[in-house]
Amino acid sequence: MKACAEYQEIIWMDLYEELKPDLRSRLRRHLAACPACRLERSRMGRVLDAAREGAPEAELASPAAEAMTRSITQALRENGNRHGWRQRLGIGSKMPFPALAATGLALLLLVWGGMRFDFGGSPVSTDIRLSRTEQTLLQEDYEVIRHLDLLEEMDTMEKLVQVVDKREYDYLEETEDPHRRGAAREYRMKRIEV
Amino acid sequence: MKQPVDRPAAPRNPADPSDETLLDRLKEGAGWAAEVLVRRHQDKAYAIALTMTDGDREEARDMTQEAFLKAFRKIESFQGNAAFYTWFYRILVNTCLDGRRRRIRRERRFLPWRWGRSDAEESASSAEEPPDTGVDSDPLAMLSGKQLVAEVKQAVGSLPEKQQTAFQLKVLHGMTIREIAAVMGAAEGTVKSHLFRATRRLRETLTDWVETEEEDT
Repeated sequence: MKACAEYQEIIWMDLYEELKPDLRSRLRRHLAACPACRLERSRMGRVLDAAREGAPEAELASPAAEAMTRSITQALRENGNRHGWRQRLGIGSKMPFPALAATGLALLLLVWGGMRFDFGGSPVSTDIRLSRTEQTLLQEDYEVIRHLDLLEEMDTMEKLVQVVDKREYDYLEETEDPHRRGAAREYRMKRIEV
Repeated sequence: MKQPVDRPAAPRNPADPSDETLLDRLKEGAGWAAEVLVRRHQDKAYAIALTMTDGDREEARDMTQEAFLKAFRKIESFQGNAAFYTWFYRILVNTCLDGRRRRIRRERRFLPWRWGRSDAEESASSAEEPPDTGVDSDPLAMLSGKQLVAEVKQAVGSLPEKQQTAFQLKVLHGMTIREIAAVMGAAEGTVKSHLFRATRRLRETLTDWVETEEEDT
């Protein structure tokens, strides 16, 4: 025996106590005349009763309720204290992420700005900003430093040659031979020019 | 739970401050208001959490507590368009659903053998044998109240999440469809649809049991 299809949902709504008064009276009249729908209502009523019976006893024991209340209020107090020191420091607790993001962005800009602009007396400079002439000069300086030992040796040699030459020219200039004296004088002048 | 718990919309004593007054005090920083609200709503909240955690009392207490804390921490966002308890139960239901999903993920990760079994195996092993309708059997004895209760409990547990929540809030906690819609954040028509589907599914699952009873009576 099957319940009437058009009444099935109405029967459920009646069991859930959600039926409007006019529909309820219509259902009552129908149930009085239809044993199948009466049976369906009775079956579903039993299923819902069984569901209620199967639900766990939900009584919160007094100590458990008290402990819960204490725990919640304590957590709120701790939260309130944290909120308090944040406010004293001027840090809003409502929107911490925008504040953090803004701070991060400011730091980023500061670092970027420091790298981008030379703040007057900063000794920091990069190769990128050197002119070609400066680069050539630097390269020459580097070559001098690299061959400094050799240059120092050459300088010593030069001085030695000058000392030896001076003695030789002095000697030649003091000779009786005018031809030799003239050649020595001419040679000394060239050395001075060099 | 034999009867649905009374709805806590209004204070029990006319002299008691209403939820709205308490909320105003709470927003002004009065901690005592939170305590009164907890005492007023914790029984009902715990009852809902208990059904949504499959009767796990410890988890139900944790969920209730977590929901209260969440609600109080974002009390500023409560606009007062709905009753406090509707808003709070919505937080509670969502907290319980999140907790259930976390538990399922944890069990899947750490107890994979439990989840490796097929649905058919699961239902075959956990469901009791269908009633023996032979001549010598006693259907009334087989269909004892306890057995039907166990069957219904299992059938409710196997419902999809939203259908199960709607069914539990309606049948076990006596909420109206409008209240359930507010708690679940859905339209009333959607809630009605969840309820009908849940009821139809229970009806189909339990057909053998209820029809055997019918034949016997």
